[in-house]
Amino acid sequence: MTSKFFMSVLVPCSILLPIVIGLLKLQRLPVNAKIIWYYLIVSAVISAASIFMGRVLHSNNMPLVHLYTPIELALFCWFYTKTLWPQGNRFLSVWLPVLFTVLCIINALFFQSMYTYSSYTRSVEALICLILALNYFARMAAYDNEKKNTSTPGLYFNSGIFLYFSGGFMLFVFSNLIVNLPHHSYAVIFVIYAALVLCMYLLFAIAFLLCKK
Amino acid sequence: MQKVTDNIFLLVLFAMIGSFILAAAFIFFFIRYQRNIAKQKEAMQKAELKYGEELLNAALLSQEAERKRIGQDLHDDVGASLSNLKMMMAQTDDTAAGGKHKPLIDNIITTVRNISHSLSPPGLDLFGLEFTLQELFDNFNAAGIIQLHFENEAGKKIDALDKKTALALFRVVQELLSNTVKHANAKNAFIKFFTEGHAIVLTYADDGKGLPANGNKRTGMGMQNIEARLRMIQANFEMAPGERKGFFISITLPENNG
Repeated sequence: MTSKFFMSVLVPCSILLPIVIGLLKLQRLPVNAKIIWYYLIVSAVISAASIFMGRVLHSNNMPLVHLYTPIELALFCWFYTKTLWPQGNRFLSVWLPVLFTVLCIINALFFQSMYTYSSYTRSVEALICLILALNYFARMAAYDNEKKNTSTPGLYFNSGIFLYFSGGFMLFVFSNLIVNLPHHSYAVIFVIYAALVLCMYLLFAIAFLLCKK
Repeated sequence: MQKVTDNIFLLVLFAMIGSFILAAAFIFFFIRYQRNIAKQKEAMQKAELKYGEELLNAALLSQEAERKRIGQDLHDDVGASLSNLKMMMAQTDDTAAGGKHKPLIDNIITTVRNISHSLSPPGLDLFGLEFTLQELFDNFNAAGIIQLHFENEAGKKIDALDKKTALALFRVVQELLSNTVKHANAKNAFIKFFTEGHAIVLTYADDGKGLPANGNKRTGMGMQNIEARLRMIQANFEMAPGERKGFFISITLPENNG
């Protein structure tokens, strides 16, 4: 019961914390923080739609995961472009999201049905995000202001993304095998996954608090 | 079948927790490393700043020593020679030059004494800061270029200041007066000493045109010299437009001074 409350109520509702903090400072947020705020809004809407489809309509909500995956990657690519390449990076901001969207469509049409979990594309997305997050750390290490580095909101946004995808990567890879597990094993894994999501939202909330235009 | 299922569960569980721990450790060590480097850089910057201040102090001290030596040489050698010359002239007939030599020599003696006193104020050691400043102000008032108003509400405390602080304050006031006369187009300057708790405060104000409107308060060698001397004695200072719309500076000496 406790784990169900944690997964179904506490973690989905915890998205409101960074959304509210971001909303209070929306006018003063830098562009990259605004992108994360948009990501949270998209995430909240799709999460609500997913709960509605699953709990109320009792229908399969996997098409939403297929839809959410390319949107999520596009938003993170946009975030990293604005953070790491303020002068612009056409490959990261345009070509990569477009190519990935095409890959998602091909995957849904030929490999993993719209009604099964899109584990291939979710795993590829996690790998891309992990590479981008590591790239952020590498650039920070080369940037000559260590004191500022540790208090910048970008570090918290990046840490949230890095922790979420590094922990969640294995879940995305094996997700279609996990669904066949007994319910208690399945629940343990998803409690850990929910904790990762919570961790990311809390780090985003801290980042919004640190934001100064 | 059960065994295979358990294995997948454990593998996924360990992989998820393991990669999360690795990522968290990576972030932790990254932040710690960055903070350590920031600390080292800060310490290095502090050391460089301290070294710069020590160099500046040494330069100012050697400048004072050199001024004192030149002032004493002027006073003792040139001044004494001029006095001898004046005595010799008194014994000879000055009418040939229409009696112009003696006033000329008197004028040179006065000029040499003024230069010597300005290079190294002798009253500072003998009579203290208040007397020396008063002497400086009397000279300015006598010249009639500007009217100086001096108040000392700190009493004997300003004479009890250590020699380094007293000399630095004297030089700062000298420089401020020089700035007022050269740039401010002021008619009056107001110098006041008072105490705030245990600290001695010096305020200097004039009724001139004040600081430039662009807010650049620290242009010119004169202001840099003032800042350097105040830093040397660890005094705090604040510049602002005064009540009379002219220049205003408030200098607070550290409490342990004197």
